[in-house]
Amino acid sequence: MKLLSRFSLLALSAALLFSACGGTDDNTAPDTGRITLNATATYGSLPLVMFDQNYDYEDGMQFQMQLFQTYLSDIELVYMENGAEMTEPLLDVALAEFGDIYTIADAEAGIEVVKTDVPARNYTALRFGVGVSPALNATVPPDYEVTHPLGQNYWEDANSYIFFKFEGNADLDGSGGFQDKLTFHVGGDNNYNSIEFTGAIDIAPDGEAVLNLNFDMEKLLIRSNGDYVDFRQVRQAHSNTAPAAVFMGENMPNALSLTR
Amino acid sequence: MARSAHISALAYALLLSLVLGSCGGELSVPVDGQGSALEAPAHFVKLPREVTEQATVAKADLGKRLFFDPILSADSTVSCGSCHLPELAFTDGKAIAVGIAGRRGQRNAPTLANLAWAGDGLFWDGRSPGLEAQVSDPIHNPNELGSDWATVISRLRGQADYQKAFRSAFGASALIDSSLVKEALAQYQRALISAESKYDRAMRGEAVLTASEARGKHIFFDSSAELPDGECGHCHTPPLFTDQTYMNNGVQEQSGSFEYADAGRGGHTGIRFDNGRFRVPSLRNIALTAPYMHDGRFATLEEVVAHYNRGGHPGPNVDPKIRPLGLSASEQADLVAFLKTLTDTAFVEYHSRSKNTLQ
Repeated sequence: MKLLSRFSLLALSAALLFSACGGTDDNTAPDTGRITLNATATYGSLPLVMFDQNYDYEDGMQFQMQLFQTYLSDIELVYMENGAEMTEPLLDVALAEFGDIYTIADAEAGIEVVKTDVPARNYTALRFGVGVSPALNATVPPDYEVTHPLGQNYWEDANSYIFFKFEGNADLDGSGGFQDKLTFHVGGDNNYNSIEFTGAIDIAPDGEAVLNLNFDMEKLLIRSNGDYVDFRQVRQAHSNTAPAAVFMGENMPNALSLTR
Repeated sequence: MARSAHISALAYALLLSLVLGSCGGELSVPVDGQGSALEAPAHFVKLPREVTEQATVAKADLGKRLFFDPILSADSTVSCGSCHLPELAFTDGKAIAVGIAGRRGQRNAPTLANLAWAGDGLFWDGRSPGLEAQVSDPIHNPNELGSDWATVISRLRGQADYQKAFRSAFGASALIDSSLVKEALAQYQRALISAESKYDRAMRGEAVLTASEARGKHIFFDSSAELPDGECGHCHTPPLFTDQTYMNNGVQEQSGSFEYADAGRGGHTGIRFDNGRFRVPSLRNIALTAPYMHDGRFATLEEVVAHYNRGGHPGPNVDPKIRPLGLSASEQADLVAFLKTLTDTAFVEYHSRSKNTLQ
């Protein structure tokens, strides 16, 4: 299991600190359990690995990956209390990087996004955003330390973080050459997607729930109606408004699945 | 990007130190009174608290003295400053660095500007985890200083003025050892902050780029629909003008699948996908740091831009952003003009003068 970032550790430390200090009126700490959110990436049913795997694409094309990374924002659990919807924040932002996933074993193990203690409850949903939330996207790298996830990946000219990157090499003519470069960088508030997976996430005292969030590159690139990003027509998009960037931004929710 | 607090405390401190330096004062490192000797410019990402809290002027001053003292080399002929000259933005103008007895090293001497922010490895291959740890590498490298810690420490302990300087920096009971030498040298290098180029002033609205520089900036950052994309800003991201990653930029021709004459990052990690990758260098002061690339193969910025315009040699792990760019001759000149706006004259002049005010 790859550690996502030092930020996760900070979040965990903060959660532990607050849980240690946050007693109730009768001075009894709430029972806690542990939640772990992992992220994996696939191309259809194939684990997504960099370099070594050829992925069959539309119309006879193939490609190899070199990088996939994405921000996740405002990760929280949802629960009901006295008929009202409540949330349990897990992490404000994380950068999930798959660029050093070289083996199927690493791809299947995935990346640890967050692992933290939370009050034991019967939660009803996981909620998060893909990209950088508008509030955080209004900040800039100088607001953060160099090791913070938002200390990098910023477009000054677009006033936005780069929400996700998809990079690789394509073979457009079946020659096996993989000489055509693919670089799709997508950002901008218009490409931010709020996601909610509903369903029971029960965390018992001292218990643990493990969730796995998967990004399917096939569904990111190809819509259910058959529309797809045609690498013969477009191989670079670095903006929040380029048609290919918007296509992928709109498709991102379709590319996600959650298993418990 | 919000730029309301453009003149940082650091800038004021630098100006103060320049004034004091011109008057024969002893300040050699920006300092803000009783606080940390190290502070990030307002438009830079913040430095970790543990980095700023360690920094003192006394340690950095001692580090500067050690940096320029050939006592660290086996034959007392070469110092750190022999390959990292302030007037060349802490490079040496050579394709490959040269150490004691004229021995040729392995790679080009990189700039040392803004290493306070360095993370995930130093050297072209990232083999060292940090500024303190990396000191042992040139000390021991037979093609650089060619010495050993026992010799270095013995010599330093034998000089009363060094004993006094170490006590001044590290406390009355300080005994000179390798850890203190490493810390002092690291503190000096962390103080080498370059953030006042024409580019910085233009971003604050205090300078105006020429038409050519402005076109070059658009090409660099892919920010104009009317101009071709140079794809530079993806990896050379401001304000550091490096994203501190490792990339294969197609300068080497493959000798086999993932095989290169210099494996670079792969030589350290042992991962074949890292072969041919090198640490993305900062482009700050790039006009002063020729020749270019890990092996100094390009003598001029024009040659560098021409390389990227051609798209480099093919290879399975050549970064996808390395591709034929289609820049015209004038557009290539525009890009070079922009790169020259990254020169921080105050930084170079201050540190060139500062090395001559050793205590």
